[in-house]
Amino acid sequence: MNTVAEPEAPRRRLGPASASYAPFLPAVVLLGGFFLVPLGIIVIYSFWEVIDYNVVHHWTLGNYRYFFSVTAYVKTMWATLWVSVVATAISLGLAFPFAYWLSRYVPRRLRAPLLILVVVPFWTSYLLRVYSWLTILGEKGLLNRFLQWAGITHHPIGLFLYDRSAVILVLVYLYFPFAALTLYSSIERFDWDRLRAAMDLGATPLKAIRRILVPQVRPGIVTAIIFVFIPILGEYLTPQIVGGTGGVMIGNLVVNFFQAAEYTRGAAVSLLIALFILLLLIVFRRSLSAPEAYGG
Amino acid sequence: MAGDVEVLSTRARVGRLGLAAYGAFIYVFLFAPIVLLVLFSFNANRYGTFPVTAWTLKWYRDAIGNYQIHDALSTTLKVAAEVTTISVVVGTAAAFPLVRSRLPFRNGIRVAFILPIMIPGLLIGVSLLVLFTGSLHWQLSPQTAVIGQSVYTTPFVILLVAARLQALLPAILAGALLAFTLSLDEFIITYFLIGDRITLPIYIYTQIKFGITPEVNALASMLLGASLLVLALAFALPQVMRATRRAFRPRAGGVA
Amino acid sequence: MKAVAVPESTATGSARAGIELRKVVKRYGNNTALRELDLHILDGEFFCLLGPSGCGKTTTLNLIGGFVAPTSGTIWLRGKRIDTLPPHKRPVNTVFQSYALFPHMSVRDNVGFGLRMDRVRGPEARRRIDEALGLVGLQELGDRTPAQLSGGQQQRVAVARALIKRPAVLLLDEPLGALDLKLRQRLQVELSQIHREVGTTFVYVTHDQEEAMSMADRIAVMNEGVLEQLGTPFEIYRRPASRFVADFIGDANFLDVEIDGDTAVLADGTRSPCSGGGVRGRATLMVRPESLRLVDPDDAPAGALHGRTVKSSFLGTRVRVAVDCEAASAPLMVALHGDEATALPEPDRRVALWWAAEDALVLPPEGESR
Repeated sequence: MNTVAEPEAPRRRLGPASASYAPFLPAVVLLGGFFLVPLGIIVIYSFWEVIDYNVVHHWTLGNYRYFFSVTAYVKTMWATLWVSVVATAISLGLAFPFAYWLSRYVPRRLRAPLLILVVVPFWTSYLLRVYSWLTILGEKGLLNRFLQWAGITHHPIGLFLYDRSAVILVLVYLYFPFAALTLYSSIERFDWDRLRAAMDLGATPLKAIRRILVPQVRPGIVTAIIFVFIPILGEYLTPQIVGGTGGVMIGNLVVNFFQAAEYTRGAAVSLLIALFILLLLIVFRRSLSAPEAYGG
Repeated sequence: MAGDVEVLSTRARVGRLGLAAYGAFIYVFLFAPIVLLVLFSFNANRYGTFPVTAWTLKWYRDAIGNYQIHDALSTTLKVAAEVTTISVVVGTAAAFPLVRSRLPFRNGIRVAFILPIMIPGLLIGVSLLVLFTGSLHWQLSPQTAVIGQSVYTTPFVILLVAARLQALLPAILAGALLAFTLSLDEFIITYFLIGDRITLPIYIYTQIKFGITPEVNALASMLLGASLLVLALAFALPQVMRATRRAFRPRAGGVA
Repeated sequence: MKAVAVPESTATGSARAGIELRKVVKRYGNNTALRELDLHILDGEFFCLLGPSGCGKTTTLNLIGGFVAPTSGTIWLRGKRIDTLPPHKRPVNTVFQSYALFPHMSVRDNVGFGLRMDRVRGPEARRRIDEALGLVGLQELGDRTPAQLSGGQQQRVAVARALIKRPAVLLLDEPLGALDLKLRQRLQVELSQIHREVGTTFVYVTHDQEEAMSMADRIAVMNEGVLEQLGTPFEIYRRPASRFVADFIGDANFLDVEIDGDTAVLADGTRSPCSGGGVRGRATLMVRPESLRLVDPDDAPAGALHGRTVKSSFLGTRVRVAVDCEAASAPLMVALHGDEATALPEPDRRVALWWAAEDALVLPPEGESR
């Protein structure tokens, strides 16, 4: 840096330093002005109230009190947490054996193409991926139509759509690639001799995986949990399209409030989502700050 | 060595075969819905699903001739072009000092820049809605949607460019491609901020709220095809560039 | 394999039969890693598998450890067949080349892992962990994590961890490969001491002939999936069974000769003494550099080779002289020790080379060694 080379010219120190901050300026304007500021406004809004469709600058906890006084909302909140936990658990549960198989048994030259195949659905539209399940599930979906055509049932079975399990299924479908990629990049660096050493010392294969592999890829597992859980918490489209009334999530409540111009109540619910995210990050703070995956 | 560890007992061998079968199942799970969607777009059946009554291109003709889709497509592309420009310029500029200099608060700045990726888009959408309509009293338009999308795409560009400053041009191209793709696909932020205009995702959303339609199947298939084409180009381009460079510089001693 | 001498006492069922590989073949796709290997390793011996990379020595180790299944053939341990058992059911433990220590566990937990798998707990486990750590001299470092240890200490933890279950056989896969020369030599001595103390069979894989020579009771020299020779370090050095073995272990001079009775006829017609009968006609003569005597050409006995010195090098413990002879296609290397090595012979001097019959070994000609 110039500043180091010219210690005798303190006046000029400000010049180069502010010059090196200058490229940040557009990003600071964009992300400060249109991300942090609005988030702050949301926080403030959640403590104001709406009277006759006008936001009144009147400090109150009423929005939160209201939310927790409506049983359906509280139920939806718990249901959202439940769906997020279950969908995250299933995504990781499906992704772990997959990543294990890919990094341990698939020949090296086949791994990259197989990995790209996992990412391909990722590059196709998110909305279309949700939509594609409508052709399978749903009243007129493949499953129902097939059953009717085969004469097994005469009426569409509602089971295949518009409930919580359909939402979970589609969420798992959407976020599996996240989990698989994160876990793969973590397991791929694992020294398999350690697993062999554990088996050599008397551990069964499953025990060796549980005692040796899992603890060593824990940072990867935590990252996967965070990257799957957070977006699911704020899901709107999936419950809207495949969830029906039974699959409503907290994101749908936010949208409903804002569409009804209940800005302050919507802000309070948004803040609840942010609070859950913060809690999750605090819970996993220790695992995240732990030294990055034990060296190879 | 580590890759071909072999375990003995037949039970272990069965387990290994089981894992391979499981891997195959995962790929079926990932691709079956997409393949079915494309399949049904050629189906004459007006419900857009099973059974296939006859093959037809009717739904493609309908989709291509639909003026609402034309309108949505042109809005989508305009928005995407602006979002790409903004996020590449802003993102590339921010990536340099983030990596190169020893600034105070550098890590704080990094976290602040990356936060929009960690926060669900829904929250970005509603908070900007409140800012634009409640505080600034702006009219919602494609321009407000551009700002919202840029908040979401710029951090990706910062991350991507900061990770490979050595190869700046490819990094910028990759960042542009990523921003463009994310913008084309973005729904929730745009839904809140675009006012009475529509983009393709919003058009599709309004159509499918009431179920499957074969016309959307056809439109979806075309979009899938387009994004696969872009993906293929993204993979092919570096190879082509490398090949060309090698052709023009036959003996670049030691330059990797 | 005519050179493999199998002592009668190793017959199956006898007290000394440790590990036995019978007609073991291992193929990976089209590549044959091992072709019909028969091997007897005695109970309690320090056994080395020696050879260049890709010779099949690591495959052999993995076959015994259970990490690789034989394509055909059987493996026996103390008279019991083990090739159908998974690794965790074999009374065999391994020291891995990378040590494969568990980084998320303390040294004590690493060493005690095998006991935990066997549900040995409490004071008994503590006593045995202390004992194992004592064996490798790491009593003080039990609470550290592997990342806090030096390479040599990590290596000792790996040995303690593998020995704690008192296995019938300890497999060591190039365990000193990652260490520098000084440390390697010290640990060679330590490993030999540990072997004497615990009395377990050690099967040690290495590509370093000096390491094998310094530790092993017996060495199996392998090449391209075949056992070239099995014997004590002395036998292998003094009586190599093939040109490959002679070349791989120590330095050697090779001469193309015609055998006529008990003399070897060299390329220039010189008739020289040799030993190792049974071979007739074309053959290869092997003489170690230290067995060659450098003499004045005028005093040379009959059967000596005449030539000119090319270069002399001072190598600390010895002087090496390269001599160009008409009888040999390549310059012959002569090693001079002690009093002989006081003066460097100057280049391009006429000299004669001579050897005793028992130092010149007749080997099958190249390409027909097996």
